[in-house]
Amino acid sequence: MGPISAVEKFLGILALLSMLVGSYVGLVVVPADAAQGNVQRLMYVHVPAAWLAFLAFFVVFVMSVLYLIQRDERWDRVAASSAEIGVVFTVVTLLLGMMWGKPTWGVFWTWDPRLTTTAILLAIYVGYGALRSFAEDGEKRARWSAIVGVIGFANVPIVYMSVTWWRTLHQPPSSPRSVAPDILWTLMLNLAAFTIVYIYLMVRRIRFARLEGELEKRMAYNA
Amino acid sequence: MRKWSVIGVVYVVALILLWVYTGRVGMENRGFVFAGYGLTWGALLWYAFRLESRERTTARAVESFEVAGAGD
Repeated sequence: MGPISAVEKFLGILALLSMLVGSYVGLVVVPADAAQGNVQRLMYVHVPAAWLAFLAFFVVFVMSVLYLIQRDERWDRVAASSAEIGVVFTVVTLLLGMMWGKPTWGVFWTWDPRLTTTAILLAIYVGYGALRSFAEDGEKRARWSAIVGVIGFANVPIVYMSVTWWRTLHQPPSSPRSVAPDILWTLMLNLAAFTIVYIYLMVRRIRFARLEGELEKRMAYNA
Repeated sequence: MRKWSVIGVVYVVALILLWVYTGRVGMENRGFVFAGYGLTWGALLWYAFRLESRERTTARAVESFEVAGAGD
């Protein structure tokens, strides 16, 4: 394993501290929501997790397009790394949604458009990961997954717009004008914390992807 | 690995503090709030841990090729 750089260490500590501060503010400092009570505090982790999943899949999309144009394996490594982290954020989003759904809607899960399209999003990127593990040839794997990375991203705007296009239990998207200042800044603070976590995980995952590529090359050379 | 033992202990302590705090302030639906935050922290820490452990295993495999190559 290569040496962990000072920047990486700093990012790791910053990610941990920012998550602690964000959670502390969300749980203790900001008052409970007037309508939903304390369970609304889940919003401060649920919404940033969803946004970061969208960002991660957007990165997959951009890197996949770049790979298809330039055929540079670096873009494939970044796309694969971002897809894996995006899956983690999507799982967190869905589970947090269930925790929030039970006390507010009375059920953990319902086949609501927002929930269903998010579950499809998860299936697409789990499939992306499965495809990568099946394909043995590096060039084919990168090309196939880039195609999935481009097509799969089409579901992201559908997930986002699902609460507007269809009648749904899920609340509509919040905007700075529709939420109280306390809620807004706590949300922004947690969004910043989740973004730092994403950057940190990306740095680590890309390093690991480089190492995987190195191992693959050596194995092919020795075969 | 020592780093992860420390992080694991801090995580468990944070969960205990969260449970005690939500109980002391009489938070309604505390189980859902507790599970939600605990799960978020847990999932991200678990992923970071898994990433490091996968990286270590792969690095060892790469090194083993280097050693084999040097012996040829």
